[in-house]
Amino acid sequence: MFKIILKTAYLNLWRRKSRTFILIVMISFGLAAMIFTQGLYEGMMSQMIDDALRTSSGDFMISKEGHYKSQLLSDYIYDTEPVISALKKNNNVAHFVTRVKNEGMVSSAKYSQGAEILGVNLEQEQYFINYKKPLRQGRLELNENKKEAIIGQDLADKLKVKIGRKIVLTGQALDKELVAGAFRVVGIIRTNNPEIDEMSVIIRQKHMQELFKMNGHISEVSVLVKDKKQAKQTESTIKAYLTKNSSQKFEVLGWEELYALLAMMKSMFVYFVYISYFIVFLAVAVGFFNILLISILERVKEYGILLAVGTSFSIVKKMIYLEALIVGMFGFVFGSFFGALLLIYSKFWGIDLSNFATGLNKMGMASIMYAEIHFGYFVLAFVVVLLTSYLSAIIPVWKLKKLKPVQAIRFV
Amino acid sequence: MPILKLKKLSKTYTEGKNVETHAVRHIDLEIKKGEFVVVSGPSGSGKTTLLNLIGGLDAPTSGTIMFNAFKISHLKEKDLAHVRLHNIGFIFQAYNLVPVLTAKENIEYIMTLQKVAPKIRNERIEKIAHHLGIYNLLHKKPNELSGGQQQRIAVARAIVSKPKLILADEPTANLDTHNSETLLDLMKKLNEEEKVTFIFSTHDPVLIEKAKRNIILKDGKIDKDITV
Ligand SMILES: Nc1ncnc2c1ncn2[C@@H]1O[C@H](COP(=O)(O)OP(=O)(O)OP(=O)(O)O)[C@@H](O)[C@H]1O
Ligand SMILES: [Mg+2]
Repeated sequence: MFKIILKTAYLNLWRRKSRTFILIVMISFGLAAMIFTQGLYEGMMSQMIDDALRTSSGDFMISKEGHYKSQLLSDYIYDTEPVISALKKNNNVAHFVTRVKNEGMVSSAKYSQGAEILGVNLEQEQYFINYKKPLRQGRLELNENKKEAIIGQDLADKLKVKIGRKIVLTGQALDKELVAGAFRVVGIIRTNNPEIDEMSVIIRQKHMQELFKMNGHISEVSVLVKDKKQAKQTESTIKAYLTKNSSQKFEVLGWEELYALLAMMKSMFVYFVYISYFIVFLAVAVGFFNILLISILERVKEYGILLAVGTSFSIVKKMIYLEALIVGMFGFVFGSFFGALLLIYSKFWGIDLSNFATGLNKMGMASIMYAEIHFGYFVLAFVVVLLTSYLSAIIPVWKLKKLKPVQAIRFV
Repeated sequence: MPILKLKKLSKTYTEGKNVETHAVRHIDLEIKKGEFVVVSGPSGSGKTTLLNLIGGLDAPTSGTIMFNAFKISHLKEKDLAHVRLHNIGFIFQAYNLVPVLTAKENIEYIMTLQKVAPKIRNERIEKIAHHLGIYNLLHKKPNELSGGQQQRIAVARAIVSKPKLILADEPTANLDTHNSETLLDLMKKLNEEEKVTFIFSTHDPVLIEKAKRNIILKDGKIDKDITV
């Protein structure tokens, strides 16, 4: 019996080819656009987060308790050994780097401004600052003996310094004395992390420790994990280890705590997607509903005959819902197909937004965006289509019932 | 025992506040099993209303309808659909067939709803197709059939579902004299062979003459009830 209902619904659908066609195009277009937007935004967000993490905290960061709030040089890690061994022992830890961090001033010949001075070991940074090939000018190497610095592009622009010029770094040393040192700019980088691009000066860790009289100590350790889903657990394992094995008190902070805004954007993203879907498919549903209604009203007498010969209204109802559903499924198939095509293209080749890049970089975005593609997008699209088809058919079905189709037969 | 018994059956349509049309008034009627009854009368005399009441397509304002000693007036729409499906066949003036289905699928449709097994469905279709000479029409869509052919398919559909009563409201209204007579002869033949009760409404005097029992309506009342 289902077969004949399905067949009738399907064939009824194609009695009005152009209307059905328009509907399918409408749904496919809406879906493809939504799937594409979702993948692109998610890709963009991941990139943004990844750029931020790799150039700063990693998936989580270990420092002396209170350091994150105070950002003081004096809140340094003196008991480094247990931290390193905890990280080396843990299976989920992929990479980590140690950094020295201090706030200070950077001055060029003409300008000076506040800066964040980072002491790093560039050899360790290949999965961190170096990971995305941020070099724009010069080289990404710091001589062991000469005092050299690498600075963010926006900072370089503001200070009007070029490769080869000297800058002076000033700051408070560990003994509270004001110290200064001249460094030659050898590299200019753009990481898409605004903090780095606008504020940071990167020097050798050893030079930094000497300048600020750090006695070989470090400020923080940034850690990247293998399985991000396990990150929280890894954090607490390490925290527990440190509590047990060190006299120093540490804080282990996940990136979500350090980048609250990014984390919020990431978690709000899903609502953004729902709202967009809602708006787009509200419009689709209105069109869908209108077309269905017209078609059903055209066929009142046919439905009347079906009811007269003993078809129950629930079967007629099924016929109409099926009709709507089939249109929806066509839309889903085409929409998913085109959406997937767009996403696959932009996943592997990326979308070049360099025309808008100045603004985007300021917001921490890369100028070439790579989309993501997840099975979940298509599940969501499917659910949306299902709902849209169903909701669009409710009123036409109700209208048909009110019209008492059996009695309409007499007016032939 | 009569297959159909109407008692003081009335139907009043109310349009607006005060406009009332008494389409059927206090009709008492008995129809025996296997009868072939023609209902005639001028336009607006209540033929369609009467047939629709009998078939449960419309609810009476007052009075009762007994079908096989079972009271079907005042049944709910869902139960009426069930009664119709298993007991009553319909042939209308037009739009009888589902346009997107072939003649065969149309004939099969009611049996499918009745959950008749596919094998039996096919047997019955074979048989009726031979009988009514519609074999070569089975794979055509309704719009590829002439008016007369469409009505024959409608008759075939009504009969294969093995109803006890077939209600035909002016089934020949859109047909020429020749086709009308052919259709009537067909229904009479089926009436005799299958012992199905037929109630048939028409304006056509030629067709009225062929019936054994003729009920003539006037202003919603039975004016004459003639059995030849
Ligand atoms: N839904 C309705 N609402 C109001 N009045 C109606 C309705 N249906 C029928 N009538 C009226 O009821 C009366 C009987 O109509 P009915 O259709 O039963 O007559 P009929 O004998 O079948 O006529 P015809 O030969 O033209 O088909 C007419 O006056 C008609 O206008
Ligand atoms: Mg009539």
